[in-house]
Amino acid sequence: MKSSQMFTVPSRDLTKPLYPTLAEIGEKFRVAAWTLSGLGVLMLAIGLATNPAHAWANVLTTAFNLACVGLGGLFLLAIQSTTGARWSDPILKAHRAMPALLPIAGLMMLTLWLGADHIYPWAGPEAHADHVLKGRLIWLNRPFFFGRILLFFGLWILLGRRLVERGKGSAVFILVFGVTFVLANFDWIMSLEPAWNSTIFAIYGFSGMFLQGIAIVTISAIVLRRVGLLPAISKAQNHDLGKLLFAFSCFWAYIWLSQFLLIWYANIPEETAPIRLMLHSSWTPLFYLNLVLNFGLPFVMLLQRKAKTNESVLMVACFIVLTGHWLDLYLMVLPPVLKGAAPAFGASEAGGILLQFGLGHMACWPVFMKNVDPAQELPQGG
Amino acid sequence: MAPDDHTSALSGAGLIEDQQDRGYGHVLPLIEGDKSYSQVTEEVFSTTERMPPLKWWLALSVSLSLLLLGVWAITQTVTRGIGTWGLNRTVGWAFDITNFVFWVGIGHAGTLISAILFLFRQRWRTSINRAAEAMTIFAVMCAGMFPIIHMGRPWLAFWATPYPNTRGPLWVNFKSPLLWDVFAISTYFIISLTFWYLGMVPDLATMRDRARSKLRKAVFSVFSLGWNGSNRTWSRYETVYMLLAGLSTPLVISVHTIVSMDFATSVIPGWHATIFPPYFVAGAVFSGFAMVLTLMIIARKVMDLEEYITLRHLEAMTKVIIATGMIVGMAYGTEFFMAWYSGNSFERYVFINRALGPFKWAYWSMVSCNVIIPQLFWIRRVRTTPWMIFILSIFVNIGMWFERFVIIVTSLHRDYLPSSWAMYSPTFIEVAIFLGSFGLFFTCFLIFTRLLPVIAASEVKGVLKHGEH
Amino acid sequence: MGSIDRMAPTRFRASFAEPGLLLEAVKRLKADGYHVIDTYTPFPVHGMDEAMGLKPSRLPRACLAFGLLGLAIALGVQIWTSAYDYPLIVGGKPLVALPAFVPVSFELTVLMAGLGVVATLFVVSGMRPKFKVPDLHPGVNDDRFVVAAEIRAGASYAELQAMLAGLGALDTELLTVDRLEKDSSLLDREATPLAFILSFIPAVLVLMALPLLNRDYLQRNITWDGGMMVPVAYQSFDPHPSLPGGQVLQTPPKGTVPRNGLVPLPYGPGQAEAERAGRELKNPLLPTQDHFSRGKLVYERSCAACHGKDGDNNSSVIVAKGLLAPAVLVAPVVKNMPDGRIFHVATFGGPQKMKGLGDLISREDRWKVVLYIRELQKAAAPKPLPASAPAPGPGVQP
Repeated sequence: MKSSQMFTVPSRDLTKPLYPTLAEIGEKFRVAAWTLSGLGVLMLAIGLATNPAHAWANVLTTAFNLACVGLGGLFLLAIQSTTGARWSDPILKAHRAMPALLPIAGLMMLTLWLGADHIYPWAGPEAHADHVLKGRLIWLNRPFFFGRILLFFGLWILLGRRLVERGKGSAVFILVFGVTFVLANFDWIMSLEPAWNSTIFAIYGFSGMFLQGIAIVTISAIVLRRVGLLPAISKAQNHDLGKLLFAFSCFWAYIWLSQFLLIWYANIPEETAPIRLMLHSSWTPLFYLNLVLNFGLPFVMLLQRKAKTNESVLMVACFIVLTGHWLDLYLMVLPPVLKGAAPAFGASEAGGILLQFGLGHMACWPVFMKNVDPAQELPQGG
Repeated sequence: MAPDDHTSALSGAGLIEDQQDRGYGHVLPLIEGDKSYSQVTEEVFSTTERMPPLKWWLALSVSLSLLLLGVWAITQTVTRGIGTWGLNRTVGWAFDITNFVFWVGIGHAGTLISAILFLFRQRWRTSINRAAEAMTIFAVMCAGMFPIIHMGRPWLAFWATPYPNTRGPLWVNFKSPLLWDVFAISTYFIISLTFWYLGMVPDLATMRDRARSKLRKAVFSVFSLGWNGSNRTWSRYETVYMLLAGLSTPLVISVHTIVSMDFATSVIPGWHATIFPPYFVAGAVFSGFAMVLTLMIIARKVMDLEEYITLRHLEAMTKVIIATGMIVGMAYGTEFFMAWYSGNSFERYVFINRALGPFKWAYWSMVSCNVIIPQLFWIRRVRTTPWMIFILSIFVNIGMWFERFVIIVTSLHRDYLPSSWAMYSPTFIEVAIFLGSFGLFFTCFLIFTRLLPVIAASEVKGVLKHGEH
Repeated sequence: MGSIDRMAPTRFRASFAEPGLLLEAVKRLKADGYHVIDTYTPFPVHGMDEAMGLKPSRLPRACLAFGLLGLAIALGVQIWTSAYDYPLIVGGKPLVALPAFVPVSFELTVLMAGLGVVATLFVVSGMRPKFKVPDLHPGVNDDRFVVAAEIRAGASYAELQAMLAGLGALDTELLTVDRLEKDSSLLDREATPLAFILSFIPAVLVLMALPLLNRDYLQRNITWDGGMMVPVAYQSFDPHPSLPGGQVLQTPPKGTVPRNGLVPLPYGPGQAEAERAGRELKNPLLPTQDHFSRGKLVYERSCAACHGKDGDNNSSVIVAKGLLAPAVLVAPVVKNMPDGRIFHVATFGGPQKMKGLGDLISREDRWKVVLYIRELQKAAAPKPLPASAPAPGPGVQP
């Protein structure tokens, strides 16, 4: 297909069904989503029986990633609402669907109560004897930790609903999000490493979350255009999405480098341990792969203007970014849980990934369908 | 001068633009006074062709006096040595590096307005970008001055560049953040200057066409590079302008990142924090926008540019100030939390000492000027009242200067060993050099406002009747 | 082409007040089969590239190429200087420390890409200082939007004028002067082969002038300021006012460890310490001929003046002058002392008058002296003490 044809506005004329309609896709996806989720739960159960620490770490990765998807959508919505940006109006559907994942992610986070002592060094009784952890127990203890989880998800869901449904409170959401997301990153991920801390950590988490959000929005915009439900999407809009993806891939790399370079340069023992493990162990290939997926490949692929407007290139780049973000989280969560052991992919990983796909579709699809229903008036963005 | 404007979906991404388009009640026009193209030409360029008014001369004499004071103080420093400053063990960096970081930060808003807002097609940048870019260049000049004086033998500053020499195989240390600074600041200066000049070429052609004296004609003929408004050239010119904007955006981020690494690569408590790069960049934008506001509010009053630099411009900038101010506040909080969380007693001490130690006055000045006072910008009346914006912008300028002072001096004046604790207070010479840098900045800026078009006329013409095409 | 133009004007231009009108006129002229040479506007008119049929510029590629060049130069210079030409380990980092090279590489990439693409723009668009600007409509940098086109063969200029006026043209004029001729700068003249040859003259002149300078190119570069080559500091042994007596070279403080690697002796002066040394120290040297002759030399230089050449005070200078009575080294008292104790005395001095010679005689030489004294004792026949010498005290009287 010539590139000029790629961007012709598809007509709503369904006598020429070039692509399946959204309803057909939705039906297929619903079945697939249930199957995937079921399989995912099964695999995780197998993992829990065989290697609980490994499995709980994957539950955390999955829950955090789902929360990131939801927050990514909400944050994009809030940003464009405060700046009054109009360009993304036609692709708002995905933004509005993504927050539907937050309750599920919250529930999954709460199940960690059962497995906290497997993965969090502060959750076990030996933490009282550790000279570093001892001082943190006032902040990192089960009731307070899970109370915070409840609070954060409650705030996100509440403010998110207000934002999605009525287009209000975007500034408040951004403020609350700023504080809670920072603490969530410190709580859920950074506390896995007993002696380690990094002030940029939450911004690093944010850069990955935002990049992933843009990738998901881009994918859904392209899919919707292909099935003819977003006629307003033009080449220029693709270009804008491509530019955003490119820019935030660079932003992710910038934050990554800031953290890595400063720790590498200062070489303070308690800071370098996790990075040493990454640089000198069997994790090393994954460490570099993370850089390639989140920055290297998207950068090279999207450097040219022509590539940024090409839907196929954009789709591939988005899927690379999604894989990259999962790997990024995986590399934050698993090494401290495995305590320096080599990476091992098993039932738990497969379960976590399947569950993400399954739950992702299950939660988002109904909202998504409602939002793109051509019969329904498009909700006015704030 | 936004390219492919009508085809692009981002075209309406303007902060306030959209509210106008959506029929919100609160609308402020971009350019006031319903002007024609030739009216814009006349109003922008005639100021450069007349003798300046008395108020301009008064302003120039004040800033020239400050500049002379600075020159005297620098002469003292160079001839008598760095001993004329209040530096000591362990406070080896104080006023000069504070001023360096302060001025680099001021410069960042200019690039942000000229490059990043251009990429996001924020049209409100058009009437302020020229002056903001000029501000960048002058601010970087002021910033670059400080490390060079601090060398003690400023005439040997070129030793900081890698050049083949007769001292055997001897090269600069590429692993030093201070050398990264040399590259970052000089690249930033050169690219900003190029960007500024390139953006000015069409306006220089207008000046050439309007010139009456032979000398003026010759000078502007040289600098306008034979510009004749050809569309073929415009087409390439816009491509290059866009590319330069695309290059300047990561460049401006890299510059303050590298400045932050001067501190963060060390192991000094209070300096070694991974959050420093993005935190410094946000702070730089914050302080830079405050300085742009300070200057623009004076300039629009003194030069009668109220119809070009309108309340819309001012209001949009106050919003950027709120946003970046919140980021800076978050960074302060994160640092405190992490100092406690880390359990590192030195780290904890540094932060307690900042808030409660001998420099607590500086710390609390910083917090109130940077975090508390800008919250007034949530009130729309404050955002649209120039004198209030002016006062608040001054507060932000002060606060951001104190931020750098607090970071540098409070971390240095308490060493690991209490026997090595010291205090710092600036000498008259140091204060005079700081005032001198303001003199340099304002002298350059005042001369610029009379020599060159302060407003990018060709860009303003492009947005004058936007919506018609 | 220029010559044809001069014979009959084939170009014209028309100016408009609004960009929209210009755009319409260009579209109309194109549709009517006119060749639009260019348009001239005070700001870029959107949609004009498409109307004129201009392709997107290829300047981004130049930008990329220059950027990559900058990156290559930066990485090359950093790796070569830091790891090969001047390998210096800094901060415990490897010689090729790529993370530390990122900032400078980034800066140079941006610098080269930016300067390179602007330079390319200047070259391809012919932007350079010009005192006469070709095709300049007086209002173009103010408020006029101008189109220049060639008259289609067989078209009437009057009809064209009427059409353009109908489209809103403010003025229409024929361009009588050729573009090339109008831009009459010397630099714009067509270059001939002769010019090519002539262009080498300056280079040849410079090369010819070099020997005239008669310089030794191996000598140190000229610097206009001596900088650190001319020290402003004091010379090492110049008297310094802040030191007692102006003396620069001071006695090292007590307990200063010499740099030759010797461990300080763990003994101090005094009787108890001397006895401890006697118990603990053993002569580390074997009585070889070499050690013996060195010991003899040192003994005769440093000890014999007081203790006598044979250790019996017979040739002692101070005994002859009647000043003091040093210990008789060959006496049984000394003979029964352990080596360590004699060594301690040689180092820290005796209980009465003798000063320690530890600062003057090296540790090794003192042990050799001990060896030599033992030889003296073996050689000496028992003799009566000189009458003037006091009886040896209960302790040692070396």
